[in-house]
Amino acid sequence: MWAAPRCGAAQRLGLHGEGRVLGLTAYASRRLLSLVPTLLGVTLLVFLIVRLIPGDPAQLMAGDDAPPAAVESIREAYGLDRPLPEQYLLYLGRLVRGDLGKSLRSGKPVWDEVWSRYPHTLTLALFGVSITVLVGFPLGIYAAAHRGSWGDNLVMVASTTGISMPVFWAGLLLQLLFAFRLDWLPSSGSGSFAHIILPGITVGLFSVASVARQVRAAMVEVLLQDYIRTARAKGLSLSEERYRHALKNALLPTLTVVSLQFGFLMGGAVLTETVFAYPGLGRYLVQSILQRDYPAVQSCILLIACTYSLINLATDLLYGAIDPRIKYS
Amino acid sequence: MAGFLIVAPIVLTAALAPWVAPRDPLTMELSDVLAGPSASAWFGTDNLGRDLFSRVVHGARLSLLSSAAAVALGLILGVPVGLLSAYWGGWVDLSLMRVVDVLLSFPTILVAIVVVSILGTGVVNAVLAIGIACIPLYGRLTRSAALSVLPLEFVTAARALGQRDGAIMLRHILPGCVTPIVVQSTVHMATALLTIAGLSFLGLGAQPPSPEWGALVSASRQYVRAAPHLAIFPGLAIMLSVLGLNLLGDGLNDMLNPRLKKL
Repeated sequence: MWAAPRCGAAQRLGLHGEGRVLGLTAYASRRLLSLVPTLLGVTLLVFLIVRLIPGDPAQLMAGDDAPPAAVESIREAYGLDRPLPEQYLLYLGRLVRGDLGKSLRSGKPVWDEVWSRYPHTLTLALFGVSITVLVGFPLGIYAAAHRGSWGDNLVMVASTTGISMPVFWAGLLLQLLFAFRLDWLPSSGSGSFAHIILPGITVGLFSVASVARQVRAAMVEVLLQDYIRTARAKGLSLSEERYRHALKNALLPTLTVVSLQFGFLMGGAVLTETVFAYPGLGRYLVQSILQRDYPAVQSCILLIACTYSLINLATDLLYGAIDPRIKYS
Repeated sequence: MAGFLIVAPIVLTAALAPWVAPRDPLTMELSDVLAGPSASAWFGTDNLGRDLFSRVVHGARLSLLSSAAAVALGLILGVPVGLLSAYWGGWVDLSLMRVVDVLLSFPTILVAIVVVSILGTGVVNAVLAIGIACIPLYGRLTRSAALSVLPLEFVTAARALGQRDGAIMLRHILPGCVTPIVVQSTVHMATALLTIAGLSFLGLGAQPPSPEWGALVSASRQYVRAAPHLAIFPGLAIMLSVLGLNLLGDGLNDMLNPRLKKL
């Protein structure tokens, strides 16, 4: 904590450093605490999902062709004949111990299956987000700076088209062109950097379009505001004003899109992963649903939902730290 | 209103599908398999010799109807939630909005996938799933709109005259909410269309031999090297529809919201 300037204006605005940092810590603690009921809510929802599916939960967990003895042992192990609240507590207990059940498909513990896919999802998410930032942000700035020109119109048309394209179709087209026709890049699987390129571009595409639009809008809005006119009157050159003042304000919407995208991708870019047979969490979830592998489905949803909540929380805190206009109520 | 120009022909084609499509979408012509676009089959044929153009045209009906149904479901259930929440305020508002916020924080397709994992696959369940995912969207939207209408004087007057709560909500507040609901609905329909296509692509939505566009793209993957036209045309149909709906929403927004001109 740095020494706060106790001048009148700063105090009136409530923006002096010390107060803000204190406010941020309190806010962060409150938000972290509120995470607990959210996560508990998620576990409750996931717990209920299997029991909402029509049919005998024990049979569902054991698998369609399991012998009655196996079904009974599952019933015992998971306490499925005991009252619901007791079952929930048992479930929580298992979760805390890291026991996510056994996959019906492979027989392996679900935890292993999920853990082996997590790094792939993370890599793809990071790559997608990098593309969004590295391509979308400059495009938006360019469009805003050359408002009304051919370049601007082109960027806008391209980005409107981009957000209308179905992700799986874009991925398929990319796959068709670069993997099958030109044979430049591998079309599926994983294992090398080359394998991430096409899926990464696919997941980044939508967000690039989204970011470009929002950055442009934010910058244009700022460029026309009064304080820019003041800066101009003070004699700052056009490029200085453009980059310093407007840029900062374009950062916030970019942050929104990027964090939304990251959260979504960490949840598993289901469609893209399916197109490229990429071994990530999203694809695992869908496969498990199609194969009625309920322990896996439950755990996937749980993991995805928790990851998502955590990322949302981190985003909120990041906002609070970055935007000086946000006060903590 | 470019959006309207794009959407209208698509809707018309969907509505008149049986007359527009040259052949029955399900008839297999095994002698003419995987052919490229030609005079007799404008989009080519698929692996079972079915005419792709006819399938795309019939698929328009399916895709458009299901996305409209999903949005309608979200609307019918979500708007009352928002209205009640705004009107009663207090802890009702707080708790409802808490739930809504949690649901909204997850991407639509994940919520839809979760619901489908409970209900099972198929078009109807996919529509239900997406409808459920839309409920919080409409809840939030209606609540914001209602909150801006509530402080107006005619509401206070109605209350003072002793009108019942329900009547006030229906006849005074709801009309004020119509504009944002209508504008957002077109955009929601675009999203719903994408999501339904996505679910069908994954095998969780429309099942074969249904000519839903997402399912068509999914079915084309096996043959994409030999017959890329199978993947290109349905996807193009999706893109054009979504683009049209988005533009329509933009146009409606400009028309119905007297504000500063967009920059």
